[in-house]
Amino acid sequence: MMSTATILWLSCSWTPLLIWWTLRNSARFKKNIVVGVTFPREAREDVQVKAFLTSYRHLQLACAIVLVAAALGGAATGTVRAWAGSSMFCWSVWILVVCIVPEVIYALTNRRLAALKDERGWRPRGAAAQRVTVADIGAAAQSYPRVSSIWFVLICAASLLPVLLDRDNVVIYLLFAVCVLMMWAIFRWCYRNRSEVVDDNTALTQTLTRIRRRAWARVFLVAAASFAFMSWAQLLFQGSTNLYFIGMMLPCTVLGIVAFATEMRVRSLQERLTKASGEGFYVDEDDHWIFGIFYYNPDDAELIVNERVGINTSINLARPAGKAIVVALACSLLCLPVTGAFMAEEFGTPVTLELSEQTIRAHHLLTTYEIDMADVVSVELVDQLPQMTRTFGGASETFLEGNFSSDAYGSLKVCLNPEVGPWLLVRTRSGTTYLLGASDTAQTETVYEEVPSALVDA
Amino acid sequence: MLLQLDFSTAAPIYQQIRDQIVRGIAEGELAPGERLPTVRALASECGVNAMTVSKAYQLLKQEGHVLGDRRGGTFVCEPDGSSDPDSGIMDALRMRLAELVAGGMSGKEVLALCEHLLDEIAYR
Repeated sequence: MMSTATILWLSCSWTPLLIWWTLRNSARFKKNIVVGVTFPREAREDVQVKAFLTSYRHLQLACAIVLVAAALGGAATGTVRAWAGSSMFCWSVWILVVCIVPEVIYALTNRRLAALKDERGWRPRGAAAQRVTVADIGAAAQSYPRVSSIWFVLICAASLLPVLLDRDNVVIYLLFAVCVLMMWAIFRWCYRNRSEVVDDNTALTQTLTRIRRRAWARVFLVAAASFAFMSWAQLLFQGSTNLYFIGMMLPCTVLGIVAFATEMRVRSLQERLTKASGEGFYVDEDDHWIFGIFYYNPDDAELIVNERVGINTSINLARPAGKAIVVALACSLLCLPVTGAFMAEEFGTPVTLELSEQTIRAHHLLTTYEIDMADVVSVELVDQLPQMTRTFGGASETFLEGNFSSDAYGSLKVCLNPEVGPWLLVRTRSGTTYLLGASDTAQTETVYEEVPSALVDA
Repeated sequence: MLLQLDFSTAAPIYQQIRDQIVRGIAEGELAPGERLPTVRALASECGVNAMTVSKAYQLLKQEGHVLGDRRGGTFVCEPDGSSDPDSGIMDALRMRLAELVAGGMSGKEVLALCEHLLDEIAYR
């Protein structure tokens, strides 16, 4: 069986390829933009521009190969138990590098292309006109077909139906329903209703806007449906670990594929439809995009803005809320290594079990269960772990902690090392059942031997 | 029709919106009966406050270039052609012509310039 560290590495090892594919696509002209820089039509055949783009593509490819190789190396080290903790920490640093390095290559190429644009005099307006916003009245007046919120309400209701059949896991079903509502909220409020103005061709603007709106709606409907499916998977497959895993992973995979395919399809349409643009008047908003990535426009009152290429949205850093969001995102990214260090610590910390002062105490890093002997009804020694599904908590090959459910014992509070048996099954008067076991067998056996006298005393 | 709002000039944004819509109507880019975007849609489009667009629309309504309401939408008016320019337009025109003459242009040159500008509008 694969170790947790290896699973972590392998489950993320493909992300550099996905990022490479997306960023490589940015090196193709769409809406007159390439790697975040707007050019006139003549620039598409410019030798220098082509050379920069070729170098950009090579750098991105090299970066992706190195990152995937590092992930495969990490997966290999994860199989060695002694290195698993360090491997987990390296994994968290690797994630940070995956998020940052390809974007740095993008930003550097963006700067080089922007400098070339200035050098060749390819700015369509004078420097004084940098603070110009272009809007198409015809396209803004057009009413586009809208996806009704009723669809999201129906999907939310579908995600809540399992509550009627399984009262034990109400919290989980509610969580999935909240996720559906979150998808609706993002669909509704994280899309800027702005036309895709490329030049003075209103029909083109309307077509591009319609394509983007439809794609946005499709992705969020699929996202909402995925969470509803997960809710049903929880109900139907909670008894079987493998089916449960498939039931949870399948909608995530489908959502990922749909989102990525939609993004690439929209990009391809944007590329095809704007092939003839870039002559005469065309929109150039480069001055509002720092490195072609971050939107900063004090003249724009909106917080949410649409990315210029594809279907994603971005944030206006000139707004106070935009600054706060970006700082929060940056902090959470920088916290990744801290999370990695915590995971490594959790992996390396043994589970302890002791009986002292009439209390059974099971402990693993942040999880502690203390059971008063006066509350204990029975204590059994279990030689084989039951089939369990985690509802809330942590799991790896060296520990299981938190709330689990099993067909044999119902809901369980678990704190044990699954590799070292036997384990103690403790039932209490309050109806809670605990499954406990230390990383050191001797500790578990000692507690089991001391229990009868402690029960008598209690 | 494209609106180009320049945030670096002293001209208020509502005035720029109003001016460009009037020019669009004059140049035939906005046909009589054509629906204008809602206040919210145009505000989101331009990234400005809805009040700014509302103010521009109010001006256009007062001047008789557009008509409509919140529910039915805003439409470009059919020009009736009968009304004389109001005193505001006459004063502004008089001032602009005076500025040109004071700047050294002859009456003929001013007339030629006006004809050229009118041709430009008609040509578009």
